[in-house]
Amino acid sequence: MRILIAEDELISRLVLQGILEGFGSINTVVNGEEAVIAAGMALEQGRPYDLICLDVMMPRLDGLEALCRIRALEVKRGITSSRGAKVVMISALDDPKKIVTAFKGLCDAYIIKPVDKAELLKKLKEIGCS
Amino acid sequence: MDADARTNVPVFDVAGVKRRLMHDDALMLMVLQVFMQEMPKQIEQLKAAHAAADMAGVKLQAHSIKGACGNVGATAMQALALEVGITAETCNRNRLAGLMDEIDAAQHAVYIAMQKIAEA
Ligand SMILES: [Mg+2]
Repeated sequence: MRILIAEDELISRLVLQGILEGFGSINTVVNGEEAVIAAGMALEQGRPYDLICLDVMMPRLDGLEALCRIRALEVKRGITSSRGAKVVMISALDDPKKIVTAFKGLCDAYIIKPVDKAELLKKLKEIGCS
Repeated sequence: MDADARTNVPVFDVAGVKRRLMHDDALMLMVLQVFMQEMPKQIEQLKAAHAAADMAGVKLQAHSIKGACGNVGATAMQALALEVGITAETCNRNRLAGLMDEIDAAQHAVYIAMQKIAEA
C-alpha cells in the first residue's frame, strides 16, 4: 500500500508515521500544497496513493482545499472518489467540525487529534485499508 | 481555562499516551525525545511572534504547540497553549505576557516528568 501523510506539526506526523509504518511505503509532506503536488505526481506516474492522511489545519493550503484539489485531479483521470485514494481527515477539536462533516462526501473517514492508534486502525479497517 | 481549573490537569499523562499508542513504548519514547528536543525552538518562535506583536503568528504557533503537547500527554501545557491561542485572538496583551511565563514553567515541569520516563 502507498501512503501519503500531510501534516505540518512534527510530533503528529511522527505519530502517524509510527502507526502506519507496517502498512506500506510512506511519503510525508508538511502542507496542503505539497500534498496536492505529491498526489498529482503519483497519479501521473500511474502509482496513485492508496491512503492519504490529511491534517485539516495546515499552512499554504488547508487540508479541506487540498482534498478538493486531489479529488479534482482524480476526476480528471476518470477516477471517481469511490475508486480513488482513501482519504482520512485528521482534525483538531477546535477545527470546525461542521466543515469536515460537509466534506464527508469527498473523504472516507475523519479522526480527532490527538491520534488514537486503536481508533485509526478501526477506521482503516472500515474503509478497507488494512 | 483559569489557573484553578488548570491545577486539576496533569502535567504529564503518560498513561494516556501509552493507551493512545497501544503500548508501543518504542514509538512513545521516540516521540518524547523529539518533543523534548524540538519544543524549546517552538517556544522561542512563539515568544518571537509575541515580541513582534504578531498575533496571527502567536495563534499559529500556539496551535502547533497545542498539537504537539496533545500527542505526548503534556496536558497542562496543552491547556496553556490553547489559552494562548484564544488570548491572542482577543488581543489581551497583559494576559498574553503572563502566559508566556506560565508556558515556560509548564515546559520545565513536563520535561522533568518526561525525563523520568525516558531514563527509566
Ligand atoms: Mg496542522
